[in-house]
Amino acid sequence: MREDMNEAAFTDGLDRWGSDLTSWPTQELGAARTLREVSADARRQLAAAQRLDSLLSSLPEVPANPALPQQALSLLGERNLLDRFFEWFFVALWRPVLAAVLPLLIGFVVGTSTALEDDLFTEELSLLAIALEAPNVEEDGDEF
Amino acid sequence: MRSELADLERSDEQLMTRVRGGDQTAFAELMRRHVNSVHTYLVRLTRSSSDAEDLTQETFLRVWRKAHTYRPGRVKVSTWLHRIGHNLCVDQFRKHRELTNFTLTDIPSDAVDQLDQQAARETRKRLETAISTLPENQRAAILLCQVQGFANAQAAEIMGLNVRALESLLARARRTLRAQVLLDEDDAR
Repeated sequence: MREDMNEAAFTDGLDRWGSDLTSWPTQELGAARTLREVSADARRQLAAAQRLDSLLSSLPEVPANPALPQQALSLLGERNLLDRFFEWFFVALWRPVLAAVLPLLIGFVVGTSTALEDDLFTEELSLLAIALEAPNVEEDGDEF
Repeated sequence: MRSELADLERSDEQLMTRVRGGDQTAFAELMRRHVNSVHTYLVRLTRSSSDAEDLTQETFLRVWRKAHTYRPGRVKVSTWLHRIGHNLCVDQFRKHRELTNFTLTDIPSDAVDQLDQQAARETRKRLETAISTLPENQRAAILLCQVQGFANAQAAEIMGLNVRALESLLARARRTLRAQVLLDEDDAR
């Protein structure tokens, strides 16, 4: 709970939360009410904010063209059974479907990359075995 | 009063449930309840009656098409409707950065002419003009909170902002309006 408040903070509060002090955050409310009691400047600021808010609230409603609802209704397409099935499917099922498919995808990716590494390892072993079995042609020098 | 409001919100949600099921009668009732509020917001945000008409119609067509995405209990129907309208309006602002000059004739004169005193009419005209010259996001914030009557948290939800960012916009908007409207009013006296 805020203990004290100066006029600048009070004015800032009026700008942020409006002239109805009851809509202010509770931790600011006590200090704001105290300041309003003791400061003529704060009361002047509050009166100005109330005047502005009252002018804003009294702006008249601007009614839509009375024909607009009927026009909108005429543009509505009937949602057929197929449309509604797709709506239901995409809204209700995409999460469980994703949850089911994701492990499959991860398994596929991991499996593919591991298989590749195994192949490379086997290939390296084969090459090493051939290299160990082959005669050392450079040492003999008879091949040329 | 508060319980009437709660009943209305509950029945709005019931209507939305029926709209999700393809009930055009429920959709018509939902539109009857909210069309003027959405239109009022959009006409002041776009500063053009014809744009507001188009956007209001598109808002409700989206409601019909996207009814299945509404989650009852998460946001109020009125908040959701205004959010759709607001987003359509922001898209339009992005497409047409250069806006036509706003004139008060864009707002139907009978709405303004309801005032019976010349001084009040002048003040209101100054206020409408001052609102129209605010930056778009400040204009949206002040309209939602002070004209449409949404709480700061709901207005933030509509604009896709956090509450502190919204309050910052409100503070700047109120400072500008106070300077332009109330000081002019004092000078006029």
